[in-house]
Amino acid sequence: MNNIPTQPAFSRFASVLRRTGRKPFVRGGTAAAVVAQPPQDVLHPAGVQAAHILHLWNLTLVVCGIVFAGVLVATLVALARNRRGVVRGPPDMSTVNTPERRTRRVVVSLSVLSSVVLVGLVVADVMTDRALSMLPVVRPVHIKLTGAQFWWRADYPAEGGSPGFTTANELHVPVGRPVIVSLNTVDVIHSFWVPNLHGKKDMLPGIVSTIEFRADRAGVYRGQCAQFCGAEHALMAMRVVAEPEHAYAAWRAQQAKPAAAVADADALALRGRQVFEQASCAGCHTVRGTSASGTTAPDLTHLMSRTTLAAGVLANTPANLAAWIRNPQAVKPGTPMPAVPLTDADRDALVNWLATLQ
Amino acid sequence: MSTVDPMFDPEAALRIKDGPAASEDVRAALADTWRDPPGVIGWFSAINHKTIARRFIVTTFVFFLLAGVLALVMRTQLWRADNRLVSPDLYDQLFTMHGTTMMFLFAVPVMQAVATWLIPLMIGARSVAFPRMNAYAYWVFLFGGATLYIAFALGAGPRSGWFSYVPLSGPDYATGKGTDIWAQMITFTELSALLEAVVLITTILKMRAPGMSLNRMPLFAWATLVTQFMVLFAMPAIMLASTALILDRLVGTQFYNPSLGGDVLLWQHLFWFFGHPEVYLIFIPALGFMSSIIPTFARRPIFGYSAMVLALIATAFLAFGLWVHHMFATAVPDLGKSFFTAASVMIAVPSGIQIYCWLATLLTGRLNLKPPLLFTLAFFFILVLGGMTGIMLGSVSLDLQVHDTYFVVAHLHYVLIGGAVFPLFGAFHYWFPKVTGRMLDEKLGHWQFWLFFVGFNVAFFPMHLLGLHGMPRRVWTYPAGMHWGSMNALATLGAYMIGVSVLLFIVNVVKSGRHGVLAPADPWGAGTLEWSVASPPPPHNFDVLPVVHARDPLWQRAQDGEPAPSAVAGLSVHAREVLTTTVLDAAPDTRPLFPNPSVWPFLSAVATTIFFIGSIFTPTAVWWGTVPVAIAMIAWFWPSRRANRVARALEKWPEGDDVARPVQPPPVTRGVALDVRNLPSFGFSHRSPMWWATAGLMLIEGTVFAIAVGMYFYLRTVDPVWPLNAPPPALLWGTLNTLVLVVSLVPNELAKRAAQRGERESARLWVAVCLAAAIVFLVLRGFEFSALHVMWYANAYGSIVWLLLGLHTTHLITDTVDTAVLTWLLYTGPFEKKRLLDTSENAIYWYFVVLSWLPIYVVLYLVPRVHP
Repeated sequence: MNNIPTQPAFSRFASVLRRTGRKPFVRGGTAAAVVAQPPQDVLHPAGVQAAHILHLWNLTLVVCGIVFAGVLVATLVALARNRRGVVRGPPDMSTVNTPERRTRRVVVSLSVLSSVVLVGLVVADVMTDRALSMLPVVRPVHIKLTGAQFWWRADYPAEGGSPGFTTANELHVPVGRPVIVSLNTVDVIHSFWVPNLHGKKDMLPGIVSTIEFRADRAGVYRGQCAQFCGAEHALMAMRVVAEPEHAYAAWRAQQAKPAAAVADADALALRGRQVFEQASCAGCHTVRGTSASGTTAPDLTHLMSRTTLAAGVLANTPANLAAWIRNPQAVKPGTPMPAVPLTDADRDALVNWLATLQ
Repeated sequence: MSTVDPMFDPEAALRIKDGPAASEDVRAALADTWRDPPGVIGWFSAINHKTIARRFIVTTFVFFLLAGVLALVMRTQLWRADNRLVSPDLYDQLFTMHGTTMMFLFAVPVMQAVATWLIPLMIGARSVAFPRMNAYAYWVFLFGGATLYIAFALGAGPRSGWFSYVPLSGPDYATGKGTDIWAQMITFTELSALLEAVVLITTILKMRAPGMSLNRMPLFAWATLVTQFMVLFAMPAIMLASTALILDRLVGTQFYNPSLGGDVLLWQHLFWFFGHPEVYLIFIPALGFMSSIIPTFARRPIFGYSAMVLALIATAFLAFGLWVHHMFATAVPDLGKSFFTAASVMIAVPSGIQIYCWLATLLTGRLNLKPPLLFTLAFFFILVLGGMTGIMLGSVSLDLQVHDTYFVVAHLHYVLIGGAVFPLFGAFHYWFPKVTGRMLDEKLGHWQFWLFFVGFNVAFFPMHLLGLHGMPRRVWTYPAGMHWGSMNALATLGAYMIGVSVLLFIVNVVKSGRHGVLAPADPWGAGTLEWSVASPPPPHNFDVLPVVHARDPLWQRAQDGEPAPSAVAGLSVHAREVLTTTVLDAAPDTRPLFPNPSVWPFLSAVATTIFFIGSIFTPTAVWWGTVPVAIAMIAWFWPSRRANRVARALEKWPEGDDVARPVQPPPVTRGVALDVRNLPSFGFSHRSPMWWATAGLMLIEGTVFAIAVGMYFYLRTVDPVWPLNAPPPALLWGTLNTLVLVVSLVPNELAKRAAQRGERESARLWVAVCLAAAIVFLVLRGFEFSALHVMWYANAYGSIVWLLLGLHTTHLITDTVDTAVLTWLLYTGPFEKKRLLDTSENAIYWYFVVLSWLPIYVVLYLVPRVHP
């Protein structure tokens, strides 16, 4: 259930302009459709943490707006009341020896009033910080999220009877239950940010930090790395799918299983799996149930259960998968994924087999 | 004829003094004395503060244009989704170079450059305090910026952002020389900024015209003074941060490597401890521009002078307490973050007070809407809006959403452009007639202003919305379907409008520079001293130095007539004699002789460049690179016989009862003069500019040591096991060296006292003893290094221990070389009594070298033993 935000008015106007113009840009020279993007927006919270922050935003916006308007009005009044000065006319030196009592009272009052308002804002800030730290953690979901250049590794530990597993780039969380994400990184600093759910938290090498949030509305939310981490920082995105408890449990159960076995009769898929295990793929990727157990790249055991490829860059279709494997640099220049040299036939077989990894 | 002329006869010529009673030839002679030498060598030898400042301003403006072009390329890449105009790697270089250029090569230096042009004229002086050091600082800056751009043009530029976070900028992820060149450019520009700070502080405190007590000083001078003190305390942090980064990258230290005891957040703390005050280094001088322009165009003195001064000082102090607000998304403890929220919001109070005072001035004045005022008025819209978003960003919760998004990009440009660049353009329009002698075209000025104002808001306001709608920073592209395209397109349009407005400014400057209306001395009817001299000013600034009796002296003079005394008389016309005054009340104090033009600042800068650049390509350059620098600087300060003759002809030992006496000149001339010819030619301690330079250096170095010690304790706190299984250094050599250092304070003190009593023989003997002691402890220091028991590349403990010892050793070596040169000069000629002042200053610095060792000794040797 995609949660499409109401577009701000200006964007609606602008997209009318755009629709009369060119076609959407096609990535990588393929006929792949532009990925319809889920919301990634501070102003439409789908969880309690983001909601707390939005409340503070609204309050601060109103207060700051009033102050700004006040200064603007004062400036405009000064201009409007202006009795034009002659450029080199004598300056008014009357204030040098006589104190300007009334002006001084006004300036002092405004300064005191400003300080009071600012203190009020600080109080509101601290109260919001406190509210964010007081998320009730009853039956939390634990996720260990590790950032890497330029993808996300998610380790779900065992929970209740349900075994643990590893996945990448797409998180599923149950609606209404708190999620505690422990954040780490294997290389440089990244930052975990899903604005519809909460603010961001940096992933720092050598330091484990956590972020707690709760999704209160089902939907798919987009997140993006928010700390410059190298060439493809711009294309390091993720999806968070918030779904009802039973759907979440079903997803967990599916993710925990090893890869579906390939029927002996399916020669193409068998050939594909062989290519995967013998070419350099297995050196970096893991597919549980095969001999591939590399850990420096995303776990592909249930690749087809994800809606995107390459950390949110491509829609997950066989054509896109083939294009990505053939030339990763054309899709995501600077990605560490190498262009593995394969014949077309081998690549077809590989994609065919990967398509079975539901 | 000037003192560099070989036909110069000191005895006769030096009897000719300036003053209101002096003849017309005096003006020509003064110009001759103070002008820059001709020819090619002369061009490199120029030290007139206006010449250096003009070059400096032009250079920073070129960097501004370069960074602007980079921004236009970035905006063009981002104007639509999935654009492929530039590759991600090039884009990363673009935003790194844009930020680095604007922050390090434009915004901070241009403020210092404008100040070095303006301050002497505004305070009634003929020069800045250290004209050759001023020139050296410019050349070092130029070479540093050029190095960065040459590297960029060759494809070897930095690409980790202007903030260069580790580990992305560390040895593992930023391969190649780009980050090394970036870090060394920091060293160049930070050296330049620190030297300029010392120049400006000393100028403002010691060279004001008689009667310009601190509470009569123009607010621009206050803003500059406050800013330069901030420079002294802020720059050491980035110096240490970039040095540690270079060491990590080139010699294998582990400051930022978490797996060997280092910490990635150490970089962020050091960087932002500098980085936040840095934006105030840019903002506060611009507040000074506002306070200069608004009174002139409101035809009344500023409202609330005292409150304005206190607000400037409060802003400067508070600016050092905000830095963690750049780190709210990291793992810093939450309670600590709230403290920084309070501080970040609190700094709005003094800025608010300044705004209320300006508004009061505008509301009670008669406004004249010329371009300088227009640019200043834009501040109230743009900066205030930026300040509001700043308050939003000061909240931890709000920041967690909008940090590292385009919301921050919008905020920083609103405060920097609204708060600094608009006032800077106002300042250009205001002072252009004074600098060049021609008026800027007013119509072009209005066009430039409106195009800039509208273009700026079109470019940057949509970025607030982009941030709120989820667009992060530092992204080379964005996917279609995010609804970001229209706002990006608008931002790009605005960027181009800004570009056109800057082009208009350049056209205006070029056109008006050649064909503009000739400007009188005071086209705007302003009140401060620089408007009392011709446009452009003669090389010596003032034919007659003024005596000041009020704030806004020209306005007061116009109202009350010529007060008595009104001018200074008695400074030599054929030598570069200047007047120093006391710090608080600006009473005439001494009349030192300033140096002649010299090519050594330029050559020293070349040697420094070779040293800095060589060091990033080979570690041995750290040793051999210092030799040409030492030679150039010794040649710089080595007295020539000719200069010495002049100095001896003018010198007068400081005595207790020398004062400047008011003298009634012959009735044909105007005003009563304050005759200063009987003042001493130098004074000891804080009476000499040299002391202020030494004090400035001690503040800088003291901050360096304090931060380095802070790094030690920070690493100790973040590492559960300390000192990381390495044994602490053996006590013997360090303790022995400490004893020898402390004992050396005795001959040091004796040298100082002998110098201040004028006893050359005694002084030079004790200095020679100090020199011997210095050589002894350099030898002992060698043994100390060998007794450290842990190498710098082993872990972070080894790294910080070597850094602390190494920092102090560089000071020890430099002071030994200083002392050796001084000893040589005291024994051989040419000698002037002022050499004993140098001896006294050397002794003070020696105290610093010894006393700064004591905390380092405690930290290195005692702390790991007492409290492991």
